Amino acid sequence: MRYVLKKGSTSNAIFLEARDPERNQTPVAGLLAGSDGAYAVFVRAGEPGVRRFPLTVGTLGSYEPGGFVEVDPSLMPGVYALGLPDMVLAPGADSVVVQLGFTGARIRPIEISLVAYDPQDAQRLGMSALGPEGRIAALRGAFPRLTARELVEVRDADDTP
Amino acid sequence: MPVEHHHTIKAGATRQLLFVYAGHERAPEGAKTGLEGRVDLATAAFVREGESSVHRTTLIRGRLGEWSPGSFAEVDAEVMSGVYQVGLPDEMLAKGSTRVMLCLRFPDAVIEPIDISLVAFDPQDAERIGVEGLANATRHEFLRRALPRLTEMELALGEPLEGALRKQLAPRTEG
Repeated sequence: MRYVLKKGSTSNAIFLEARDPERNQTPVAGLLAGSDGAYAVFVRAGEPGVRRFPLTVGTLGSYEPGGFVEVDPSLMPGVYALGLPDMVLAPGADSVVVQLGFTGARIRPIEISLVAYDPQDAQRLGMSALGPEGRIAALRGAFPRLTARELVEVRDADDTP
Repeated sequence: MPVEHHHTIKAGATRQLLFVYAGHERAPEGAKTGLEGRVDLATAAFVREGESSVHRTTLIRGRLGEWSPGSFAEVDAEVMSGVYQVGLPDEMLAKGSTRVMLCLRFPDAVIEPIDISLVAFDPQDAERIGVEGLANATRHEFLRRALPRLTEMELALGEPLEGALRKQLAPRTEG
């Protein structure tokens, strides 16, 4: 599993799949946050160690840090939702790997690229250069005398005409 | 896994086709062919982030290169064994979630879940990847507000020229 998420974004939930390594990789249903041997850890690029976070009983469709819930054992066996604790995605690292462990199941490591842009921002993709401040700076740099005379401060031209 | 099962698609995109790889249940590295004729035995369902229930979808036989919701078509059993085309239902990609996972299940076959990031930008837009802030209309609006006296005349004069240029370029970019 691989994700691209904005650094510092919060309340993110992801989906993951558990398979049985001893039985031809068949999906494993019925895993619970409190199962024997269950653990969740993550490592962030540039940090010296692995950190644990507690798994809790989750609810499908609701975010809770560490919330772990089976999606649907009959229609989507082996698929689970996990609420990523916000500290996993905090600014300060460019990538993070999350690993969950359960006895009798294998879940592939979840690789997350932590990026500065915002894939969910249709207006400017999280790029400050496309905001009013960035545009004004560009205008001032290109036309210093003209803007000294003419420029009207625009707070947010993108939102309201 | 010879076919990537993670995709990035603009939320709200429609008529999307993807490829998936099916392996044998007992030996997942080996390709599983002939599933197209067994769609009546398949189970297909997807779950969207932030939603509390799973959506069941019906698989139907499809044709390569043609979209219909839930269509499932074998690409070529001989030269691309195990590769199938899936027509994603539009409601699966609707706005309102940031990710969605689709599971396809056939007897004796293993298909990895299809994991889709639903994003606000458009990876298929060569002009501005769907970022509204890069649209000329948005840029002009900003200029009109920032430099009202200067742009009052100049932008009005430029708009017809821009429209003509856009028409000139359109056939080339579409081709």
